[in-house]
Amino acid sequence: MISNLKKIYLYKDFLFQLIKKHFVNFYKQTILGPLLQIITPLLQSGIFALVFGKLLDFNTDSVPPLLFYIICTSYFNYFRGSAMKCSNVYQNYQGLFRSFYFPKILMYISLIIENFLLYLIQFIFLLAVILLYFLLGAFEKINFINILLSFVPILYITFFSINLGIIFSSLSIKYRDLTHFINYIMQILFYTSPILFSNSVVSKDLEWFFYFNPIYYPISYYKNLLIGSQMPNITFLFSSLIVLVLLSIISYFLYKFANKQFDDFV
Amino acid sequence: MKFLKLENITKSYNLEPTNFKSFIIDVKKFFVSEKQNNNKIVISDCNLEVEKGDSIALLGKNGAGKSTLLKIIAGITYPDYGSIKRNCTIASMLSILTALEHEFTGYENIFFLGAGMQISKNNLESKVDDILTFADLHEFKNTPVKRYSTGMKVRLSFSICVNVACDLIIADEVLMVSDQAFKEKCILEISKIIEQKKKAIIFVSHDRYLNKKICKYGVVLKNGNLSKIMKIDEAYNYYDLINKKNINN
Repeated sequence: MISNLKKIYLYKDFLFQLIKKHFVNFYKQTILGPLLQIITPLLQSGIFALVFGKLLDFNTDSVPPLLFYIICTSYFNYFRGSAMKCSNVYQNYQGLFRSFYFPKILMYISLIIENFLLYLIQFIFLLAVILLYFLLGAFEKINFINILLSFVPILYITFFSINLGIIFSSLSIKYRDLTHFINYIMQILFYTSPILFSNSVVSKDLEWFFYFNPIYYPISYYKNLLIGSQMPNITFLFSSLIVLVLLSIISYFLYKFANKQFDDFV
Repeated sequence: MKFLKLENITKSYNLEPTNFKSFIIDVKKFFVSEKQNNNKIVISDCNLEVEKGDSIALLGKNGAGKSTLLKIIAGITYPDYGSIKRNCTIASMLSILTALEHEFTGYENIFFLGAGMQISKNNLESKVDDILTFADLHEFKNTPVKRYSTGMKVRLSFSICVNVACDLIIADEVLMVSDQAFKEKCILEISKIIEQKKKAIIFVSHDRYLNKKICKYGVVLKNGNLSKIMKIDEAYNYYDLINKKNINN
């Protein structure tokens, strides 16, 4: 473990170069550049607010629907972006892996850092929207400590997404179509997490179902910190942590396997 | 101290296609361990030692396992058996065209590739001028590499590997697309480095002229087996003898 951390430290300059590479590849020859990080969630949340908040009149925890959906989607988009990018590492960067040796974990770390930096742009926009609603009197719950604490569920989802990404990218070195399963997982998690709906509408009789959703507690906590949504029972936190530990163990072994076998299959 | 020591390296590849049938076989193997292995052995029980100042040409026909051996040395792929001891920093030129970041400029790629080879930023900054001069790319240093010709990309990569502070250069068919003038320049530069005993090089090329000019020694890879290190002329005599036998058979 320590030797792996040492290796990462030795390659710190290259880690910086990889992050730069991701940004350059993403933003070169674009018109909107980083503005896309604001426009995309705004459009997405706008549609959700219109359809679910206004037309279908979903409960949005007594906060304006647009604000509710911007908060929910920013968290889920960060998770989805990180997991999806990490799940294609061996296919997307095989040329680089074949050129010279560097610890492959650097690629995952660089993608996560890139995605976190993109999230920060969204987060600043999110804070601006919260402030705007606060000034307009439509929202009264700004708490700066909670805003800082909102990085705790972000930390959880970071580890969760990197492990999920490692598992799928490692499995797909031999059977490429396994990568597509992550799309199904994303869709299942999107519809079974309190993103489109409020936690308060979850029936107590069916709440046990959410023990199977490892992002149920973190996303609820994130919403609670930013808009004071209802918190689920603490036992959901334990189920999320158990899933994270299991994923970490599986991803550790699969990473070791893929690290050695990558060149034989990809 | 030896830069590199390979002991009893064996590497095999599974050449079967990956599909539903292979998936079923894998699932069966998962539950019932099978000792039978259908992998093709590419490198078998190979030993090699490289010291400072060595210049070794790796000879062998297509598919002999030259690139695999270089990848094992570079740490890109792992052997099935055997041990590798590396006491050096390695500049590898294996798939150099895919290593470059095509959206970066030539100048930026010096830092990108250099960082990947664990060369410090300070060292790279002091070498930028030498790298660009050697590659004759001063004029294009701020041009994205995607606008470079293949030859220019090779010049840039080669120049980085030769000029940065690394101990062992491994090169696989790198000068194939270069013009004669650049080839001669590389021969001179590498000869200078080897004479000064600063670095070592393991060179793979099907160009006999280049191999003989760049390398003092040669090893022949045949059917996965590596010969002992010989003087380059002896290595070519042995290589030619093997090829003749193959043709006659």
